[in-house]
Amino acid sequence: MTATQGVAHGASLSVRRAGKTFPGGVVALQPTDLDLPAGEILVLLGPSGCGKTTLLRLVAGLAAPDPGGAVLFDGVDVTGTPIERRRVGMVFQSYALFPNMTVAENVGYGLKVRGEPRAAREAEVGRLLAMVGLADLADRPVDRISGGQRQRVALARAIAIRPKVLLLDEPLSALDAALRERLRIELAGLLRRFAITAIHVTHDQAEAMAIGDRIAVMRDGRIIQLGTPEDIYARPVDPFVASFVGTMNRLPGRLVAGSTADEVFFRPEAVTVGPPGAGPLAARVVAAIFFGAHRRLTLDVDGHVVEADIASDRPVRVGDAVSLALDAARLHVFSEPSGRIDGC
Amino acid sequence: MRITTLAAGLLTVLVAAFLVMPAVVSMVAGVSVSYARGVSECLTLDWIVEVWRLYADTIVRSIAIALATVAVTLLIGVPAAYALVRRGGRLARVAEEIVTLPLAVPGLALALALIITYGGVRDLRGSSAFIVIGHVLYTLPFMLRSVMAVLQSIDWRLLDEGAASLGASPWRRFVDVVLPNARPGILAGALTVVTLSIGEFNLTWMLHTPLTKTLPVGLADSYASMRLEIASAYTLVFFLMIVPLLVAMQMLSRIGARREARP
Repeated sequence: MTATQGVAHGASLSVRRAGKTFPGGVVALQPTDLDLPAGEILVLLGPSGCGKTTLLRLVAGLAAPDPGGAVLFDGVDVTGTPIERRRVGMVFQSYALFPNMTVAENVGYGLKVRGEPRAAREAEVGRLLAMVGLADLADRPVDRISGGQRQRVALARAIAIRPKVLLLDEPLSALDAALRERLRIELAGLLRRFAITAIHVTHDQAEAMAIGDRIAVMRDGRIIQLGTPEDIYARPVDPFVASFVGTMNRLPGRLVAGSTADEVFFRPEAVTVGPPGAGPLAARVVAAIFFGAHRRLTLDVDGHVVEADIASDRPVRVGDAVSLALDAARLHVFSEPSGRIDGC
Repeated sequence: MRITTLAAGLLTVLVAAFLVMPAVVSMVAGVSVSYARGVSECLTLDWIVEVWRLYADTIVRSIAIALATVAVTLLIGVPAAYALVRRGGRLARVAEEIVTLPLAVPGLALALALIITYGGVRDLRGSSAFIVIGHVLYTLPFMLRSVMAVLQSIDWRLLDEGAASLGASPWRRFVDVVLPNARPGILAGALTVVTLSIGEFNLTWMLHTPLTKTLPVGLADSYASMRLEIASAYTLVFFLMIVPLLVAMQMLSRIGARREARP
């Protein structure tokens, strides 16, 4: 249907021992390795300051890695190539649209710089604007369109140059919550249609789940876990990943006698709530929040907080005594001391 | 409450009147047949015609010098401002301070330094270019500050990175993206420079020769040697030149403020 589909699906991307130390000695990124096959969408997920944006800027060519690090597109070393010759599409957090240009001029700028003839340029811009649903705003100045529309202009502009790799730096974070949720789905759909190698940076785990083929969870300048959204959710490697992605309960206890871990972790869906005495754990309902199809219960188990979901038609009220049963197959234990699990 | 508001209003009007009156009196004098006999007598444009006959060359020269000054400050100031915000850090601040230094030095001292250093070059000393040099020294910091401020307010680095990611070379980024978005600041700087150059007296009085008089120098000359009405008419001409520039500056700064207020 479009030139961006079927032809170039972007390059494969390799990052080799790329680290970044800022002047003053702050290590923003530990030497990191990363391989991305052509066409895959990788999400870098982590709290602010974890090095995800730094890694993105190294791939973009907006920053140079410490000596010894390298970035390769399709096996070709581009470490010394400045961003303007790397052919990467970049969607910035605040979009970086050019206020002196219209929507169409913004989208067509990359093609203009490349000396593409006017007619071909206009055709391509028209097609891209139609694709992101902005065809009738082509001649608007970019400061006369909404935040969500700006975000799509930024995406179309980055795609227009048929980049080898598309890089998105928290592209939804400047939007309000409701719009963000809608655009998350829309963006995931568009990226699939472009079928392009992409790295998407976010601190929002729901966004990461919706958009990524794979997710790299980062903390303290390194990738802690790299896997599919299902992997990360079902088999987190440590308490940090477990708590950062989705809701995770923790209770003191041992899974088997003699194990070194003294805490067990489990998701709300691993909990079965029954009448008192039905399950092995006694609990009291502290809060019950209605979510439509289900009700999220906050429970007090011996002074520990546990969250669990029940069908919303079950007559459970705040203050009720209940019992909990845990699905043994869905309990997690981590051998390393769990320590601090929030923040970078 | 009412009374204090009223009193404050009255005070404001009085102070404003006190400050504005001399200008008004001077302008009225410029179109009075005889200032000594008062306005009631008769109004005339003869004095303005006389001013043009006597001082047309100074008016034209002042405009030419202002235009040359603004051209040079644009040529030096805009790239310099860009370079300074690009580089940043202590070195850039030191450079900015050095460029700003002429503002702190009395114009007469600056002129004297120029004459001591370059006065020996006869062709330069006798030409209007010598005055342009003085004016550039004096007005460059205003251009620099204005452009640096606008560059910082438009987040030039983000725009620059955006254009770079699309394949634009550093030069194209500057021309296509940085310059157009910095235009309000560049225009404001240019208007400031023109206004300052047209009104500059200290430096110019030292640097001029009988053949390179500017408008303010001519004004001083007319105050000293002509009848009051001619000097006043001359002031009126000066006002007519400078007020539109001031209004334009005010409007530009308002546009700039509105642009920043937009989300």
